[in-house]
Amino acid sequence: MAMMSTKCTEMQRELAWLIVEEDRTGTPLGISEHLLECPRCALEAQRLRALVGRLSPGAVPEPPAAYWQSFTPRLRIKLAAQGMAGRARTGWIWAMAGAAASFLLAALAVGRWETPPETRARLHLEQVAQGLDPDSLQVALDTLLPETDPGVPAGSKDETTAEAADMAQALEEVLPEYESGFNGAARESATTQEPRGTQSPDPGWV
Amino acid sequence: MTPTPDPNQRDLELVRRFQAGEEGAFDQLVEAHRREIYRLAYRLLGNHADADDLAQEAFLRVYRSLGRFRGEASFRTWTTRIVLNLVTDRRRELASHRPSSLEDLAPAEHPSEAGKQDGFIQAEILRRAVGSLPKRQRETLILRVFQEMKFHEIAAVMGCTVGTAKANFFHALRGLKHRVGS
Repeated sequence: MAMMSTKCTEMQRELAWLIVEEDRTGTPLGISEHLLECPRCALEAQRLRALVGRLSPGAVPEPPAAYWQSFTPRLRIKLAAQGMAGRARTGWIWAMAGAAASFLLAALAVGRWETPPETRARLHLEQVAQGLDPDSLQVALDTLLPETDPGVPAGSKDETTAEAADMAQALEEVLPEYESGFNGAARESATTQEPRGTQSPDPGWV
Repeated sequence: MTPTPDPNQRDLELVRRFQAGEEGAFDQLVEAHRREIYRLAYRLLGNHADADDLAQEAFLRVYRSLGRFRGEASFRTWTTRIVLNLVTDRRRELASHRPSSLEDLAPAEHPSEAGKQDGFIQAEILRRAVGSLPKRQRETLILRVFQEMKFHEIAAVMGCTVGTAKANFFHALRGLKHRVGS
């Protein structure tokens, strides 16, 4: 038997292409010619091709139709058991979460646009405090201290002042010895300068 | 006549739809590939029970990872790689629990019936011979002969060059010939 040449070794490495006849264009040049002139390589190629032929018919037994019908449902059960099923449901939950977040953002935005006057005034005051916008001071004061207090009926300030004076007088009668530093000094000053009944009202007090 | 859609394009489209939230697209992928996955598992493990178990596990893995599938390889290549990895794990697991020869890892389903006919005997001899090949040669042979994959697809699955895949195939055939006799 002839010795295997280097060319035979090279060619037999390439036999894989030829045996499976996958792509003739990928077959190295000269292999077909070599097989024609080298009986040893030709015999090897023939044996390997026969071997592949013997392998191929070994088909896998086909399971019954019921097996294939149950294949995906069984897979779904396993997915559910592992907590993986219902990606679509998960997606729906994420969509709901996104919608809720959008709603919150929208609500915040609306709230920002419909800020109550008091809040706006406080914002102005904060700006003034930060020295960002001194002109805001007037806006804030106008909002916080309207000319007419809606909580006090017009014309009731004098009545309130009179009630306070009556209460103070009653307290002095009940507690004549009570004097705080401030009240005592004020009363002393008033008594030394003018009699109580003649004291003129402070025009800037009301 | 409507042209047959390219399977790779069809798979890619189904993957995209699944990634977009269409759960049913996964079922269609299973429908399209379950037979091939099962047969590959059967070829590698040698019996229905293990093949079924492994095919199901393979699709569970596919489901878990499909969100990250970017389509660099074909879906078929990707799933084949998953099956081969699972088989490797299974064999390793079996080997650690029950030391045995490679031939014993894939017993015939009905060896007594197979012995009744010469054809079955020959098939059994071949099957065992395939099972005794080195891992990469065995996988290459199965992918090429039984799964009818092209060498460039095998190279993608095995993570090697086309030349290496081709060499593995050739050595697998040589090894097989040596085992069963010419």
